[in-house]
Amino acid sequence: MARLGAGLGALSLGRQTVAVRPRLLLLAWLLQVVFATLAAAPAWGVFTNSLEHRPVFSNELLNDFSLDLLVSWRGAYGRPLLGLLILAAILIVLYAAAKIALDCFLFPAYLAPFDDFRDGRLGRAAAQAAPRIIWASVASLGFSLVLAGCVLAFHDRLWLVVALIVVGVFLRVLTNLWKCGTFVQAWAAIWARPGSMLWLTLVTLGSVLLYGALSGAWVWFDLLSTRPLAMFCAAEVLVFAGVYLRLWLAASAVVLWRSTENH
Amino acid sequence: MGRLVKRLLLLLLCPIWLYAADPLSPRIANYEIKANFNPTAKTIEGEETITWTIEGDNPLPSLQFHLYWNAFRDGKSTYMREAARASQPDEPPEAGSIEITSLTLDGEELAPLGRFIHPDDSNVEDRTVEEFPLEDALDPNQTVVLHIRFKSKFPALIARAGYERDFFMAGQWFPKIGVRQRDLWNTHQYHLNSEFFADFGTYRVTLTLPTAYIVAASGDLVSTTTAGGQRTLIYESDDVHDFAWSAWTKFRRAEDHWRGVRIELYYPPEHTDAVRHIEAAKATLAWFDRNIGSYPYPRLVIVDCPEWAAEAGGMEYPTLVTTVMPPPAFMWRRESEVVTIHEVGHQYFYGMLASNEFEEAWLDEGINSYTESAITDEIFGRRSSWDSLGPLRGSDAGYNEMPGFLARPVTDLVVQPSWRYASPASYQVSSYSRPLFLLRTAEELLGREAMYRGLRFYFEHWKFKHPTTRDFLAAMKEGSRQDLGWYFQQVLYTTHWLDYGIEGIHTDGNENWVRVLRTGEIEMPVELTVHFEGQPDRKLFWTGSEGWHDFYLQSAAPISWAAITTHAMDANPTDNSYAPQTNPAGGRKLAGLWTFLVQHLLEIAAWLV
Repeated sequence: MARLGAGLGALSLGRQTVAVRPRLLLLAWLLQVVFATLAAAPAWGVFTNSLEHRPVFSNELLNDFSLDLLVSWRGAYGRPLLGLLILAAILIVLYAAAKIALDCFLFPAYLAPFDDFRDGRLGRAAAQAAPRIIWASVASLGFSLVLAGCVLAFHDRLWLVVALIVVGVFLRVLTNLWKCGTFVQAWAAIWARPGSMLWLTLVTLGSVLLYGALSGAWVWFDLLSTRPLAMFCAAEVLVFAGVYLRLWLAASAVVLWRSTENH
Repeated sequence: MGRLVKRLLLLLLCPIWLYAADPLSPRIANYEIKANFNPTAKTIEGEETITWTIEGDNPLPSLQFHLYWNAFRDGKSTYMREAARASQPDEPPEAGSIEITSLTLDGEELAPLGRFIHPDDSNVEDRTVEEFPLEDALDPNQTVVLHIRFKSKFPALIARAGYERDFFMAGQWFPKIGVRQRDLWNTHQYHLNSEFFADFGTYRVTLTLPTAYIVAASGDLVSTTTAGGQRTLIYESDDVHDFAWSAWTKFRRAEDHWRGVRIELYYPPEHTDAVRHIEAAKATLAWFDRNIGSYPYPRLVIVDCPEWAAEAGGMEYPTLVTTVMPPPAFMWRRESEVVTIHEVGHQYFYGMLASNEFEEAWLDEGINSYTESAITDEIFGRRSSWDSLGPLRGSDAGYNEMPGFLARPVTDLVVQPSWRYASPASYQVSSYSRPLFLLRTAEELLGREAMYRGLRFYFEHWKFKHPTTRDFLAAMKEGSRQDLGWYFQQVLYTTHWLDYGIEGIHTDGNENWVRVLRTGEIEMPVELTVHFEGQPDRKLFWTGSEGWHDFYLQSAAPISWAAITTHAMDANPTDNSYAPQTNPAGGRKLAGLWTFLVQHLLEIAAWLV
């Protein structure tokens, strides 16, 4: 019970940590919105211009959606999509780099939630933290790619896929701890608070599953919906929730890290 | 009195007996094969007696045999060279082969005279057709008996034949005599894109193998004996043009019946819902029975391949089909049903009509793809016959569209030899997808009833006779009682495509012009329906032969929208309607999905670093 309490406490403190630094949350969300706008906006014109005078096909899309319609649309207007996909891919890579840069500020700020970072002190803290955060991020990406390869290779063995997802989630928690210090310290923190770490891993897994389920539900309702703008607004709320969740879990890991330091 | 009753009974039963004994097919090539299967060495050693009727008017100077597995001897065969040109592996994963060690006719040994020929290309290294010159030409219209000894070596699974672990799929595993047509041999080398062609006959196959193996074979099992750890199975099959079998130690077996047809299913233990295949097969047989013709064989054997031997799945042999299950992550897909329906449908076009798949593959694959989509639409619904996960739906026909039906320019004709396609993708499009859509459009033009009447006439008139495209077209004309020659000429013998669309609507006071464009080369009559605000619709027609046409309409009420008939062949169905007022809702739905996808990719990237 004590371990459960510690885990819950870390999550609660994590939420407070995010609340103490609202600008970072805003910045993380704006970063998402800016990159999403840059990546998706050029496609809006292609999609809407192609069908705005085509009532039969548009109505089928709205009221009787099927993948066949996407195939037909792609055949008729899909030529620019390749270029737009390449643009999106480039922007996704840039976004990942921007997110690492944001982490360089975010982790020092969460590690000292009540410090006053005015007069360029946050910048200095970020510069100091940058090497370990970049290293941890690159390592995390490498691990994730290896795991994704394993999932693809063993996609027909469900239990193995589930196990690989759990490993991936554990690595996410480990990476967040690593960004607070060194890998060895992160590993030591896990052993110092094994119950809390397990709890955080489970909550992270639950969050990922919940977010995935909500995303799936969005797609489900969007395909059935005849109100695309309302669904777009719902999607933006979901994305904001995803960004918040990401920061909350990072802050919770930082709280646990701090507790092992004190311990 | 008793004698009278017996005579009366005999008189009554006689027609039944005569009917039962009447062969369904010409029975030109009749095989009796004794084969020893050695799973350790992956070999078959066999003896084969072919009782063969020589058709034609002129003396026969030679014998020709297909030795298909020689395509996998090495990288020099025509098959492997074509694979290399198509950026596929240029060597078989493990060599397979087939060799005639003895061929005697009237006691005379012909094997030393054998030479490999290459009727389709100049590849002297290809060994898939072997010719044996005869010292004395044989008179036509006589039946000869050929005795053959052969050795076959299973390749590692390739082109739906071979072995993987202890699973074996024996298709095209014995020397097959070629087909004589118009006093010439019709033999072809084994090509990357080609399938097969053979004469009908009877088969009596004796197969000896270790008792641990469970066999699925395309014949009725008439005898089983076991001795010394070996089991000998004797199978018989009549009025077919091939014999195939599969052996595995772990097969499970299920059996069901449909109107006197015994359906045998062989499946891996882990496929607990493999019975889906039986249901799909029954639905297919019922559909064909209702719309095309009856299934005359007493059996249908389904082999559901394990995932690691999926290369053997999705193949047809007379009365035996191989199929697959989708990976667990895609269980919402009706892949297993669709593949089974497709392969069972082959029993009609490949099995009984038996067109030359080397020369006109579309007559089998294309018409079968059309009937497959008709069956899946009927069973699962028009929009969800392939994918069905809530609103995430997709049709079997739509899936066929994906490989590139819409890709332009069209590179190959539908009617052309299968080895002359620019690529496997072009073969796929021209032999499967385009025929599916061109026949759907034919159905739209004829009406479903007339279309099925035409197909039924084609089947009943040409079964067991190897029809050609010309025969198909003539049968469709006679059966449907409508002449679509103008249409079939465009879609079968040209690379043209069909595309009509409404460019726009121009209004000036009470006068309106609706402009329809023909951007494809295929000409079709066009029906335009114009919808007015508060007034009844109007229908107008255009021959569709010019590049464009302005429909002129006078109306006090404004046009709300106009639409032309959409045919399945239409390369771009999205522009077949037009509304003067803009409505971005449909486009926004796609844009919203795109944005959601991009934002989630961004979020995944943020999670990974």
